[in-house]
Amino acid sequence: MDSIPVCNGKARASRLPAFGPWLGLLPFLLFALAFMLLPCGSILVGSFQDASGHFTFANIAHLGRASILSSFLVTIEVSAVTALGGTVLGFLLAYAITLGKLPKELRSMLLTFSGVASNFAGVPLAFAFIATMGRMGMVTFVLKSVFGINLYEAGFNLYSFWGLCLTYLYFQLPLMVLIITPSLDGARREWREASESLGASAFQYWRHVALPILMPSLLSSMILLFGNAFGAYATAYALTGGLLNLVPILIGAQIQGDVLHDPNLGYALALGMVAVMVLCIVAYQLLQRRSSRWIA
Amino acid sequence: MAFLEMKNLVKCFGAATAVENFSLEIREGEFMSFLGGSGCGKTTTLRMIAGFEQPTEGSIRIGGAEVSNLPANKRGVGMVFQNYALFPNMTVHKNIAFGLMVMGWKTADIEHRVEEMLALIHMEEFRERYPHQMSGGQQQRVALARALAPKPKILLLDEPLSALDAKIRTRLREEIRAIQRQMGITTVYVTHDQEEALSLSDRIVVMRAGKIEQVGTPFEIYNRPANAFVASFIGTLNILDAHVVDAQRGQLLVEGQEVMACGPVPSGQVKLSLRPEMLSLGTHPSNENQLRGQLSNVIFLGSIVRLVIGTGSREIFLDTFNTPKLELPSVGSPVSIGFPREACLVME
Repeated sequence: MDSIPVCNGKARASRLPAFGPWLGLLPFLLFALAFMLLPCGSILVGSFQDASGHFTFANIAHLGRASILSSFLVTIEVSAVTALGGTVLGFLLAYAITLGKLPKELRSMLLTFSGVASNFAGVPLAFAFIATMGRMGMVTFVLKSVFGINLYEAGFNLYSFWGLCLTYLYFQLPLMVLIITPSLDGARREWREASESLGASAFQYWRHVALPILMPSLLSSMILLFGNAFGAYATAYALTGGLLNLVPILIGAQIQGDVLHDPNLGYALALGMVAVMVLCIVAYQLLQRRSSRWIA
Repeated sequence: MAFLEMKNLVKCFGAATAVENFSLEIREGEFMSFLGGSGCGKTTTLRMIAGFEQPTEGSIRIGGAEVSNLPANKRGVGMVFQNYALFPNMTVHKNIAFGLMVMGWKTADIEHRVEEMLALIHMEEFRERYPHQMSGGQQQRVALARALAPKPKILLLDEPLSALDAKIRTRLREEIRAIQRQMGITTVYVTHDQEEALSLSDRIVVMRAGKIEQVGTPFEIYNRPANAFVASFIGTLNILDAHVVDAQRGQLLVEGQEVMACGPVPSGQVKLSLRPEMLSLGTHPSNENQLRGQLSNVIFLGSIVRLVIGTGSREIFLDTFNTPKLELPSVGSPVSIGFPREACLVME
C-alpha cells in the first residue's frame, strides 16, 4: 500500500522561511515600481507624444538639434572628467589606506569621511564651494591675502566647466574610495610577494599583475562615477544656474521653465539620459562579474 | 660546506621577539623542514630568507654571498605559498612564464622551459586554464612549477599543503619530494605537521618561541629527542614522573615500581618518556622492565591498536599492530607492560 504524505506542522514551518525573504523584497519592488518603472514608462510614452497627446517622432528628432547635442556633449565631458579624476585620486587615496600601511585609525577615519562626503551634494555643496572657492570665498581670500595668489585673475572660475568639475570631485572622490577599497582589500599580499620572489620589480608587478586584476573594478567604478555625475542636477543648477548647458538643467527648463516650456521634449531628453545610464549599468555589471571572479 | 647560512638571526615586531638567535647551516641540495606550533617563528624565519622581512639582527648568506640587505627580487629564491598565490588574471602557461618574462628570457627559451615545467608536474593539458578553473592540488602544483621555472638557488615552501585535503596532501608531498630530488634544489619547508616533516626531510629544525629546540634527521628527532618539548611534540609519548635511585646504573622508581634505563641518567626527580610502540603487552623478550596496570580502554586506529593502561595515577598508551591473530585481554583486567631499557628516554 502506498503511504500518504502527511502535511504536518514541521513541513509548514520549513516552507515559511523560504517565502520570508521575498516578503522583505516587497517594499523595494513597490518602491522601484512607483519611482522608477512607472516614471520610466511615463517618460517613454511622453517622448512620443506632442502637447495635445498625439503620437509623434518630433521630440526624438529634436534630440539631433545642435544645441541639444552640445548639451549632451558638455554633460558627458563633465561626467567623464570627474569620473576620471575621481577614479585616479580616489584610487590613490584608497591605496594609501589599504595597501599603503597607514595607521588603521586613519583608515577608519577616512572611510567614515568618505561615507559622509559622497552623499554631500546639491545646494549645500554648491554653497560650501561658493563660500570657500567663490570670488569672495575664504580660500580665495586667504590665497590672495597670504600667498598673493589671485585664483580668478589666473583664470579660475568656480561657475565654469572646471569649477563645476572641481565641485563634483568633492563627492566623486570619496565615492571612489568607498567602491574601490574592498577590491584593494581583496588584492592579496602573496601576489606581490610571489611576483617579487620571481624577480619582478614593483613596476612589473603593477604592470602585469595588480593593474590587470584591478582593472575591471577600476573601470566599473569609473562607470559608476560617470553615471553619478551624469544625473546630477541640484549641484550644477545651484552653482552655475543656466551658465552651463547640461542635460539635467535643460530637462528642468523644459518641464518647469516659462520660455522653454516643452515637457515632451523634456521627456525625450530624459529618455536619452536613460539610454546612457542603461549602457553604464550594463558595462558596470559585465565588469563586476569579471572582477568578482578574480578578487574574492 | 653550507649553501644557506643563517647566523644569529633576530626578528622583533615592536616589543615582541619572533625569532631569537637563530643560527643554522643548510647544505646544497638538502631538504630542511622548520617544524613547530603556531607563533614559533618558523614562517618569520622563512620570510627573512625570502627577503620579505628584514632581520633585526644577524646575517643570511646564500652560496657564500651575504643577502640580508638584498631585496626579495634580487635573491634568486623561489617561494610557494600556503594559498597558492597564483596570478588569477593569467593562465597556467603565463603564470609559469612570468618569472622568466620579467628576467628577460627569450620567447623561445620561455616556451621550452614552460613545457619542461608542465611535464615535470604532469599538467601539460592544463596550460591554458585559469587558476579558478583548477582544484587546490592542481593550483599548488602550478605554483611549484612557477617557483622552480626561473631556476632559483633555493626553494622555500610555506605550509604548501595545509589548505588541501588529506589524500591530496599525501600524494602531493610525495611529488614535492620527488621533484626536489630530481632537481637537486636546496629546499626549506615550513610545516606544523610532524608527519609531513618526518616523511619529507633530510633534516628537521624543531622550533619553539622563536628558538631552535633541536636540529637533526627525522630518525634522530624521533628516537633521540633533545628535550621533553621535542619528545612530546613529535609522535605520541608517555611521559611519567620518576625518581632516580641510582643515576650511574640508570635505576629509577616509577609509580612505586622499579625501572632500569641506560645509565648514567640525571639524578633527582626526572621525566621518563616511553614511545607507545616500544612497549609490549606482557613480558618483553629482553625481560628488563615490567610495569603493572589495568587495561582501561582499547582504541582501534586501523593498522594499529592502542591500549590505554592505568598505572596508579597515570595512563600509558601501548601500540601494537592490528593482526588477525591479535588477542587482547578484556577491559578492566590486570596487565603488565614490558619494555627494554633502550626504550627509556630520561630527561630532567
